[in-house]
Amino acid sequence: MQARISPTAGSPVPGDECWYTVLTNSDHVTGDGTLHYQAVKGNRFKAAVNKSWAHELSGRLVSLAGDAAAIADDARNRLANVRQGYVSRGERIPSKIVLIGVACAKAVEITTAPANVPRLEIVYTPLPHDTAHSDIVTYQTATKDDLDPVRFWLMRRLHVVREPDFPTLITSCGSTVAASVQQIQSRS
Amino acid sequence: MSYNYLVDDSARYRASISGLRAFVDQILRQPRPSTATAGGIYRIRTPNVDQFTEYETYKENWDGFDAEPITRETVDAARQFWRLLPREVPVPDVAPGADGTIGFEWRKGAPDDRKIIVVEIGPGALVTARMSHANGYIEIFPQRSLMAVMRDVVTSLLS
Repeated sequence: MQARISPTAGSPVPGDECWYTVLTNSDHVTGDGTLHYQAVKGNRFKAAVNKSWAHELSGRLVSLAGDAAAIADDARNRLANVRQGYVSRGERIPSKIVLIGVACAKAVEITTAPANVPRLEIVYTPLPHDTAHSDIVTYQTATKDDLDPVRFWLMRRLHVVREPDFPTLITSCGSTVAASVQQIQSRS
Repeated sequence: MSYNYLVDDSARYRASISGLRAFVDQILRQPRPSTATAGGIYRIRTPNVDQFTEYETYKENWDGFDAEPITRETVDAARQFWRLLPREVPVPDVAPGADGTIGFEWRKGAPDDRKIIVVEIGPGALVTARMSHANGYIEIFPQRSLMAVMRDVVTSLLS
C-alpha cells in the first residue's frame, strides 16, 4: 500500500509518488496500448506564468486523489465538463470523446531522464477545487518545440491504465498493467 | 541540448532525409495486415464518412484544457495525406492534437529500443515530421506544405 505523503505546495514530490493525467479521447491510446504523441499537446502542457519553471503539464497525485472510485469520479467529472460544452451548443457529442483511463508513472520514472531531455520535476500545485493537483514542470523550454524531447520522453515513460484497472494505481501505480502491455509488445 | 533542428543546414538535411528514407524502407519491408484500411495512392472511391470526419466537430476546448478547434481545412489535408500513403506502409495510429493538428504515428522495435515517427498535419495544411530514436535523439524535419509533399510524390513516381 502506498504511504500517504504530505507534499508542500510548490515543492517537488517524492520519487515514489504516482502521478497521472486523465485521458478523454480514444485516439490518444495507440493500437498497442501506448500513449499517442498527440495526447500531451495543447494547453494541457502550457507555458507557466510567474513560476520558476517554463512549462507545466497538468495532472494529479494518486496518494491525494482518494481510492479508485474517487479517481474514476474525478475523471468522469472532467469528461462531463467537456461533453457538456457540446450539449449546451446543441451539438452531438463526438464518439471518441470518452473516458479512456489515465496515463501515469512514478515520479522517479518521469524525472530520471536522458541528457537531451530538459530538466523535469513533478511539483505539487494544489488548486482550490483540486487538492490533488500536481504538474510535471520543465525548465529551459523556451518554445513549444523545446517540449518535443519531453513529449517523446513522456510517451515512453507514462503507461496507460484503463478504468477497470484503476485499483492498480493505488497498489503499484499501474505497473502490473504496464508490464503486461510490454510483454505483449515484446512478443509481437 | 543535443537534439537538432534540421532546417538551415542542407548537408544535415540531406542526411536526415536519407535516414528517414531508410526507416521508411524498413517499414515497407514489413508485411501489411490484410485488414489494413489506409487509403493508398490508388484509392478510387472516397467515403462520405471516415475516421477523420469526427474531427471536424472538435470545437474549442474539446479536451477540457482549452484545446484549439480542428478546422475543416486540416481535416481535408489529413485525409489527403492518408490517401498519399502507399498501401505497403503499415497503418499509422491517427489522433487529434489539442493544438489543432492531426497526427500520424508509427512505432518500430521493442519498447526498450523503439523508434517513433510522427507526422503532423496542421493548420494551413502544413506537414511536420519528427523521429524519436531509442537513445532520446530527435530529428525534426523541415515543415512543408502538403502540396509540396504531393509534388515530391508525383515527381518520384515519374522519375
